[in-house]
Amino acid sequence: MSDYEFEYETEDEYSNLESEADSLDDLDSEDEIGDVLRADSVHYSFKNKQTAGGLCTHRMRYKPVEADEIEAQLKARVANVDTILQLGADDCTVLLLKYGWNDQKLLEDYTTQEPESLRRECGLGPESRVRARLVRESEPQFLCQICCSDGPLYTFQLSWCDHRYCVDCYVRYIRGGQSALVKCPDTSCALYVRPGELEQLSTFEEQRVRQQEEHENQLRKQSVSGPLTSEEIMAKYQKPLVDSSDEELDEDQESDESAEDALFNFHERHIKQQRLEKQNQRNKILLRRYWYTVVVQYTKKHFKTFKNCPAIDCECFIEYLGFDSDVITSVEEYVAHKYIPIVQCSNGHRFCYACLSEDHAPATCTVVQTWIKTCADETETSHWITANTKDCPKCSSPIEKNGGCNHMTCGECHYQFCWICLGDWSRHKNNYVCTSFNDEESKKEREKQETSRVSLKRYLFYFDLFEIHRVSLKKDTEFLAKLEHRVQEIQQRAKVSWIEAHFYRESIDILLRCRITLMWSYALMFYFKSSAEKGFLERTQSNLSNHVEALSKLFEITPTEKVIKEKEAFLTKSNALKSCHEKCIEKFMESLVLGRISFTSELK
Amino acid sequence: MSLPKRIIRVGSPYEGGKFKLELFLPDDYPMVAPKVRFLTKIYHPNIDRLGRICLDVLKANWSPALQVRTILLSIQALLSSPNPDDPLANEVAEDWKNDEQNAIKTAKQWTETYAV
Repeated sequence: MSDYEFEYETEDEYSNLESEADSLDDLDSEDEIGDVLRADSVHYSFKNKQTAGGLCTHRMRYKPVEADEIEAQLKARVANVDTILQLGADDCTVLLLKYGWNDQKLLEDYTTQEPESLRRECGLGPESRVRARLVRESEPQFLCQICCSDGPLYTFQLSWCDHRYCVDCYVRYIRGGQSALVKCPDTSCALYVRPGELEQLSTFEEQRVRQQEEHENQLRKQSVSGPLTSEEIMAKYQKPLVDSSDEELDEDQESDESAEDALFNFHERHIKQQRLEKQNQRNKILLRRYWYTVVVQYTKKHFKTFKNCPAIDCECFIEYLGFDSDVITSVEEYVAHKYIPIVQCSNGHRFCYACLSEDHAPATCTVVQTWIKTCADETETSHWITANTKDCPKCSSPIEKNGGCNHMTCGECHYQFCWICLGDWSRHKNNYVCTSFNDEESKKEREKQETSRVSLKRYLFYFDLFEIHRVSLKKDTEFLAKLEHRVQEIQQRAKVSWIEAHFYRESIDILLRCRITLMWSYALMFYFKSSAEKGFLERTQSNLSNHVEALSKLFEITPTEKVIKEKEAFLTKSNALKSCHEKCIEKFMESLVLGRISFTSELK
Repeated sequence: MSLPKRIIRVGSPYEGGKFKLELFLPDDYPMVAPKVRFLTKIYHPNIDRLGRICLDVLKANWSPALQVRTILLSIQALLSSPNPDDPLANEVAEDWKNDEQNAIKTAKQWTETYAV
C-alpha cells in the first residue's frame, strides 16, 4: 500500500505485487519477499535516462531504507571488522562507534598501535568476553551509590569493573544518555557499556516489567472479588499515579480515532501506527533503543548519504547511492546544473534530496527558496498597496489618501496632483473637468501608473495562480483523507474487489502530484524573462492544467455506482495526465538545464 | 530543594573565606547534574558575576554516581587551582594571565571584603 503505481522506479511490478499482498492481509510470507526485493532495488530520481528531447538526465540513484535496514547494515559492518580483528561483535561495535564507523582507520590503528592501550583508550576492558550473570541479587549490606537504596537489590555491573548499581538506576541512567556510547556511571572508570552487556540488563528489565504487569493484573482481579485490605487500597491508590498518564493517552487516542475513523487517511494512519508501535518497542526494550540510537547517530554523521524523510511522523531514510552518470558526482553539482533530485521514501512521501522540502519540481531549489521568501515579504504588503494607494505621477512613491480632498501633495517630491486623473493640479484651477475619460493628459498618466505597477502586478498574477493551486491541492488532500472510506464504499456498493477500486486512489495520487507541479511551475514562471521559450513552456503548462482539470472534474461524480461505471474514463484521463506530466517536467528540465531560458533580476 | 553550604578553603587567595553556595537539585537528580551557584561574590576566572561555575562535572562529565560531597570537593579543587585558559569571567581571566600576582591580590581583597 506504500507504493504508488507511477513512481519513478524500475520495479513497478514488484511494488504492485506487494500492495496486492498487503491488501489481502497475507502479510507474513509476501512481506518477506517484498523486503528482499526492496533491499535489492535501486530507485532513480528520474524515470528516463534521457528526455524526449535527448537531454541526459544524469539520474541520482537512491534506496529508500528504514532504521531496521540500516541497523542490519551496521551490524554487518561490525561482523566484517570482527572477522579481521577477532574481538567479538561487542568490542567491535564500541570500537567502530568510537572511530565514527571509519573501519579503515580503526584497522590501521589496531595494527600499528599497542592493542592494550588502544583498548583502554576506547573504553574497553582487558578481555573481549562478556561475563555471564551481570545482573545479580546483592547482599543486604549493599548500598546503591546513585539512589542510596539498601540491599538486597538486583544490581548490574559491566564485565570488567566492579562498579555495581541497582538495576533501576542503571536503566534510568542508560535511558537518559543521548549518545549510543554510554560510560560506566563511575567517573573514574572509562569502560563503555557494550551491547552484549546491555542485553543482559535489557532482558532482565523486560522480564521484570512483565512480571510486574502480571502481578498488577492479579491484584486488580483480587480487588474485584472480596473486600479490600488496607494494602490493596494503598496499591489501588498508588498505582494510578504511575499509570494514569498512559491510560489517558490511550483514551485520547481511542476517542480521536472513533471520531475520525472514517475520515482519517488510512495510509497516514497506518504509518503513524507503525511508528508508535516501533517507538513503544524501543522504549520497552533497552537493547532496541540502543541500536536505534546507533542508527540515528550514524545517519546524522553521514548526512550526505542518509537523509531522514522530512514528512511529519515519518521515520524512513533515503540512502544516496551516487549518480548513473560520469559527469555529475555530487548532489551539489547536480543542483548547480539545475536538476532537481526528487526522491520517494518507503512510505510514499516525495521530497527534494538537496533542500529537504516537499517535491517542488520543476522549480529549482534556489527558485523555491527565493519564492517562499518573496511570498513572506510581499504578499500582505502588496495586496494592501494595490488596494489602497496610487503612485505619485512624478516620483512613483506610493501614496495613501488620508482625507477627502482630491488635491494631493506628494510627501517625497512635493508634486501636486489630482487623485482622480493623476494630472498636474495646476491645470485644475480654472474650472477644469478631469472626470472625462478621454482627456489626453490623464490617459498618459494612467498608462504611466500602469507600467510602474507592472512588476507588482506580475508578481500578484503568478502568486494568485500559485495560491489557487495550493488551495486546490489542500482541498484535494482533504479529499484524499476521506478517500479510503470512499474506496470502501465503492467496493461494497458495487461489489468489486479492492484491486478494482484501486484506480480511484491512483487517479487522485496523480492528480495531487500534477497540482504540485503546476503550483511550482507558476512560481518558476515569475522568474523567467519573457521569450519565445517562455511562451512555449506556458503552452506546456496550460496543457497540463487542462488535463488536471479534466481529471479533477471526474471526482465530482458522487453516486458510488456511477463512479465504477466511469472507471474507463478515470483510467484514460489519468493515463493522459500522467504522460502529459512527464512531458511537462521534461520540457521544463530541458529549458532550465540547457540554459534556453534566462532569469529576471528578481532571482539573485 | 536548595540548601546553602559553607566551604572554607586553606592555602589559596580564598583562604579563610566563608563562601555561601546555592545547590539546586532538579527533579531528575541524580540523572542530571545539580545546579550550583556561588552566592558570595568571588574573584575567580571560572566563576562569573552571577556566581555561575564553569566546571566539567557540573555539565558534560556529570555522572549519577557523583554525589553532593564530590561536587563540593571539585569546587574546592577549582578554588585552589583557577584555570584562566578555560574562562567564564573573561576580564578576570585576562587579569589572571597578564599579572597573576595582582590578580591573586585582588582575589584576596575580595575574599576579605565579601567572604566573611
